[in-house]
Order: sequence, then structure tokens, then C-alpha cells
Amino acid sequence: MAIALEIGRTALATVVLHKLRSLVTIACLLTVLVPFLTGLGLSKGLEREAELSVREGADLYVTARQFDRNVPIPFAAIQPIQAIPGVDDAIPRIVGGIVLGKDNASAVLVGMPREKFPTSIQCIDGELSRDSRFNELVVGADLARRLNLKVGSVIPPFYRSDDGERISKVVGIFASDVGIWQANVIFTTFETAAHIMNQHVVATDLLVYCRPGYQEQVAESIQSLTLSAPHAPQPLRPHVVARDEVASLFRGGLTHREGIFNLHFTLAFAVAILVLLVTSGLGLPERRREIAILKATGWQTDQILLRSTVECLVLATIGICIAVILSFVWLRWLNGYWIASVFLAGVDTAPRFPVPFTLTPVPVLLAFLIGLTVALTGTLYSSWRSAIAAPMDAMR
Amino acid sequence: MSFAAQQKFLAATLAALLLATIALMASDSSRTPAHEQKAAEFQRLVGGLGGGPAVDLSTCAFSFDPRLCPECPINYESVPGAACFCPRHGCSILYYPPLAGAHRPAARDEDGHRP
Repeated sequence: MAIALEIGRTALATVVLHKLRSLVTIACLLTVLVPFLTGLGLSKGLEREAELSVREGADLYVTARQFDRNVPIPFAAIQPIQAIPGVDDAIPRIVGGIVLGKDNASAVLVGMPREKFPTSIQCIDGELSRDSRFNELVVGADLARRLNLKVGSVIPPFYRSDDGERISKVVGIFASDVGIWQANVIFTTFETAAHIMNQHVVATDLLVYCRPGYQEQVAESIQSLTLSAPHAPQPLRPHVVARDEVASLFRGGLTHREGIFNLHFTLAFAVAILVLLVTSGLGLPERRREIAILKATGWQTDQILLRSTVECLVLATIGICIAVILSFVWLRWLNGYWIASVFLAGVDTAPRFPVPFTLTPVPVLLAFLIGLTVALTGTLYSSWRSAIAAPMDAMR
Repeated sequence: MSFAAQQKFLAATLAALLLATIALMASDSSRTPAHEQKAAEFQRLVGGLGGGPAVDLSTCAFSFDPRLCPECPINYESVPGAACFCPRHGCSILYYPPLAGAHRPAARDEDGHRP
């Protein structure tokens, strides 16, 4: 044990002795680990927000189905669904994409029935729509800044409707810290949204709230309904998405992450290993000579490998600690400048809302193991090659 | 600085970094309870909205909210099966598969879905 501790102490000395090599190794690890940890932090933050969205949402989301695609559901479906035993409420909702301003900014129009609005609200600067001759809109913080809108701003007609166009008025702006999905939302009453979208007999979906324990039974009952479409020659089929089904998507999100994110980091790790191989022995004659001297003074190959392992452990620990600190600074104080726009679609280089993130122990531990593996792979082989060579040859 | 002093400095730096990391992770939260409350209020107001790594519906509604669109709409147009070209999925950090129900419409005896 005493020998192992002494070997560990000499490993610490090696880190100090080869300052440039240590710095290059740490820099190499940081280059890979900081974006990796930042991406994972963002992913976990987003997952947490998504869970909140599912938790506070409806029990069932009902749309119609045609050509194996979701289509708006006719109002005629509300009454039969409300009559199903176990249903507390069925609320029609409109969600649609619109374009605003001279730069064609994309916005998400959301309309909910006025009678479902809460009496007091904290997430809005201003107020919710009241009955007036204008289209009264509550605008997302990001969209408001982009279009230079404030509470009281008036928007000239930006849509075409059979009932004629009306001037719109901004009555409130969502607080920027209520989540990323408020960024481009325009919230209004169901009637106003239907008027802007020029749709008077359909809703995007029905939000069904059930009594506890009735969710599955209600979903089955809705599936068996036949919806008569206002203009379609054939009846539509209802399509039900349950809260649990959506929640399970997000829960599995992190473990099933795919695509360029993983590919990018696989390549980055491969490059990092090569860089470390070069810096840790293959290209560093000093290090080979040092190992040869140790061998000549009686060190065994396994002791040299233990020394290299401890050295890697120290370097990986320093690397991961600095990476966590840098990721935290990037996500909290720099609010994910640039990196958020890479990972989150439709977000500006400098996000105008607090970027959600969580640096949990599991991703940090994973990054540490990756860092340690990179450092060990880049160091152990070259150390072993030097250790098994005859000291005379290695010293040349 | 002597070599021994440099070693001590390294050990101290390592300890300080470890403590700082643990402290940051313990205090890590981009949200306070007040923020959580406001976010929950927003979600109740809009009936649950969002979930994916997109902030608008412009290209891929599935990346904005899988409840609105259970799979990538690019899969249907302009080239069938083009979901793999969807710009919203390329760099996604929160991957989720299409909703299982998207391909499981209500089976009926008379509509050909059930023989």
C-alpha cells in the first residue's frame, strides 16, 4: 500500500514535471468535454421543462386522423366526449403557425376559451385578453423584442379572414423565464384565434381532463367515436394521445439520443486520443527517457503503468472539474451564447430567455469516465511501449 | 517556486477545483421555485405546450411539441420519407421517437385497419 501511495505521489510529480504535456492534455480534454457537458446540461434542462409541460397539461389530447396524419377536430366532437363517464372537461384549443413583421418572424398562435382563463396571473406582464373590439394578444418575450412590441402596441392586420380583418393590440407579454416555448407564442382567446386562422368549426385539438383512474377508459371510449367532419365526405377517426405516452417519450430522450450530436463527439474523442498519443510518448522523447531511467533504477512495468494511470486520473479530474465550471459559466452567466442556437432550433445566437440547463451528477460522471478513457488510451499504450523496451534503447 | 512547493500547489488546486465543482453541481439550478411556479402557470394557461428542442412550428411541429404532430411532418412532403433530412433533427440534443400511437389508429372492423 505504501509503495502504491509513493507511486501515486511520483505521478503527481510527473504532472508538474511535464507542464506543457499536462496543459496540452487538459486543453485537449476541455475541447471535447465542455461542449459535450454543455449539450448534456441543455438536454437535461429541456427534459425537465418538457416534464413540466406534460405534468401541467391535459390528460388526453384528441385530434382527428385522416391519411394517417393529424387533422383539426370538429366542434361536434366536444359534446359526445364531454358525455363520456369520467370526463371532467373537454376544452377546444387552437395552435397554429403564423408569420409576422417585415422579416417574416414565425410565431405560434395559441387560442383558449376565455372562460378558462385564470382570474389572476403572474407569468404575464400586462393582462389577459378582455372583451374588446381589437384582437387582444399576449406575446412571447422573444417575439416581442424581435418585433419591438410593448404592452399597448397596435399591430395592423396581418391575416386574411372571411369576416374581415381587425387591428390587433398587445395586452400582455409573457415573462421570459416561464420556459423556452413561450418565446414565439401569441396567446389569445379561442374566438380571436379562430378568426385569425379563418377557421370557425374546427379546433386543433381537444384537451380532455379526466377524473383520476378514468384516463384509459375514456381514451378507449373516444377511440370508438365517429366524428362527422363538416366538409369531408367520410367520417373522421379520433386520435388520442395520453399524458403517460408523451411523458415516456421525454423520459427515454436522453438515453436514445442520436444523430450528429453523438457522431460529432465520437469523432472528437477519436481525435483527442490521437492528440494525447502524440503528446504523451510517441512524440515525446523526454518521457521515453524518463521511463527508461525508472526501469534502469529498478521500477517494474506494472509500477510504471500504475504511475501513468494515476497521472491520467489527476489530469482527467482537473479536466472534468474545469469543464464543469466552464459549462456552468457558459450556460448560466453567458446564457448559452451561440451553443444554445446550435442545439435549439429557431433560437438566436444570444437567446433572449433564460436557457434551461441542469448539470446533474450522472452526465458529469459520464464525462469524467470519457475523459479518463481518452487520457488512459492516449497514455498507457505509449508508456507500456517504453516500459517493455530495453532501457538502453529507450534512452536513445 | 521549488518543485515540492509546485506539487503542493497542484494538490491544493485539485482540491479547490473538486470543491468548486461539487458546490456548483449542488447549487445547479437554472430555476428557482418562483420560476417553477410561473412556468407551471404558463403551461396550465396554454394546456401544456412544447416539449421538443424547437421554439416555433415553422419547419417541424414534431420538434416543437409531439402532441401537436406525432411525427416529423417532413416525412410526408415534399419527398416521402424525408424525415432524415429534417434540419430540426440533425443537431437535436433531445431526441425522441415518433409517438407510438402515430401508427396505431383506432382499429375498426369496417375500415380495413382490422381485417
